[in-house]
Amino acid sequence: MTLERRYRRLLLAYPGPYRRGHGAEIVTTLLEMAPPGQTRPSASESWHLFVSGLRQRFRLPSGRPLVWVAALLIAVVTGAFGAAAGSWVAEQTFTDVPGDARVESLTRQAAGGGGSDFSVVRAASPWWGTMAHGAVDEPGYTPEAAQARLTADGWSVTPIESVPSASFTSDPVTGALVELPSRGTRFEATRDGLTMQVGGYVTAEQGNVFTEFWPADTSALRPLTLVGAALGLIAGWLLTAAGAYRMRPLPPIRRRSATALVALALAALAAPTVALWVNVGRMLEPADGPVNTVHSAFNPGPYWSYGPAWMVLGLSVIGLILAIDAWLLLALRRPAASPVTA
Amino acid sequence: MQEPTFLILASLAEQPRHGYGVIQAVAGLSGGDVKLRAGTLYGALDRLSEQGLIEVDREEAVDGRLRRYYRLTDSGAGALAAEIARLRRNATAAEQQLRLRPQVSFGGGFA
Repeated sequence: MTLERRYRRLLLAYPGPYRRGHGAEIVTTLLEMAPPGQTRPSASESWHLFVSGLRQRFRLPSGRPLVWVAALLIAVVTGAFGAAAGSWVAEQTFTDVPGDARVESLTRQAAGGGGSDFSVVRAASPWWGTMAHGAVDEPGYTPEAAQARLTADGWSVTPIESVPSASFTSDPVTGALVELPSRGTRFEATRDGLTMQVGGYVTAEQGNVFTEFWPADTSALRPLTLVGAALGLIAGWLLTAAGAYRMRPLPPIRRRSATALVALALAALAAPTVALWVNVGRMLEPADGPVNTVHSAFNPGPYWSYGPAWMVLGLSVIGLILAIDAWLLLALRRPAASPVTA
Repeated sequence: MQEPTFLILASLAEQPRHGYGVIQAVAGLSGGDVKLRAGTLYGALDRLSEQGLIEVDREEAVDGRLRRYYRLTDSGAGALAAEIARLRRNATAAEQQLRLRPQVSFGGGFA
């Protein structure tokens, strides 16, 4: 490989439009600087070109304060979506939530048999992934016996907690409402990356056992989410820098249209971005119960009391479409490109 | 204004120069102290063009290689003159302070 080709390969560190504009003259200068007989760039020269190219990718056009504001806002948005992507990847390492038949068998195992009144529901929330909820009637339920059964089956259990419980019946003679003595308990059992919370509410006459299933964190969630956020922040900055330099040679009408699309995209993505960053905060806090994930903000649900349940996902899709339109407007070559003169 | 920027502007004052020409002129102006590397030079040339302090003068093909010549704009000449005045003012002030420095003479007293 000739020295010239080696230099050209090193210039790949520079952004494409910059390389097309300045690559040839930089190679000329590098070759003129090279001592006679040099066949490959020195290590320090290679490093210098690589770092200079990277720095050029991060550079924003000078004297354009609005571009700086745009870069910060866009980085905050892409950082939030990067965190969501990292959180989604981490969730793929979680164990699956059991199917209905398995929920029933585990609920009955915890309850110690159970009656005919079994039900199961599944629900996702804007704060955590899908959970399965089982419920069965079992008058003879005791949490101690449930723990013994589950421990024997390989589950590790947390201590039994008391939870408020109230049960009422009407006095057959007076018709007055009478509170019955009742016991409410709760504990968690974990096995093979699956957590089952077992709750029981028992009176002398009847008992109900409720289970909730969610996958335990595999300790991948925090690192992957933070890496995703960091990559997203960097990507947003690079995207703005690339867009700003592509915007410079465009006709004013196209520049204004692209700016308007970027502004609309940012407006649409503002609420989803806040939701995702708030979920990053929730994810970082130590939490009992289901594992908080960032991308769960996209699940339909009451993230905010105002707005429809699909607001976060819907606004994200709208914002993404606007952002892609803005990029196409910036990146597509003009039909009749004039030669670069400056 | 950083020293390499100042020297690049100064190197373009006399005549338009191409990249390697700027590197040589800057080395000459600084008495060999400042040896610009290509990445630094083109980073600075790009920034100075954006600021309107320099512009492309012409392009030449030498042995099939592109050479692009840059020249100082009027705005660049103004910025260079302002920087020279600032440096001269600071240098004169510093020189005066240095002259006022008490000096120890061989006789042990102050001069």
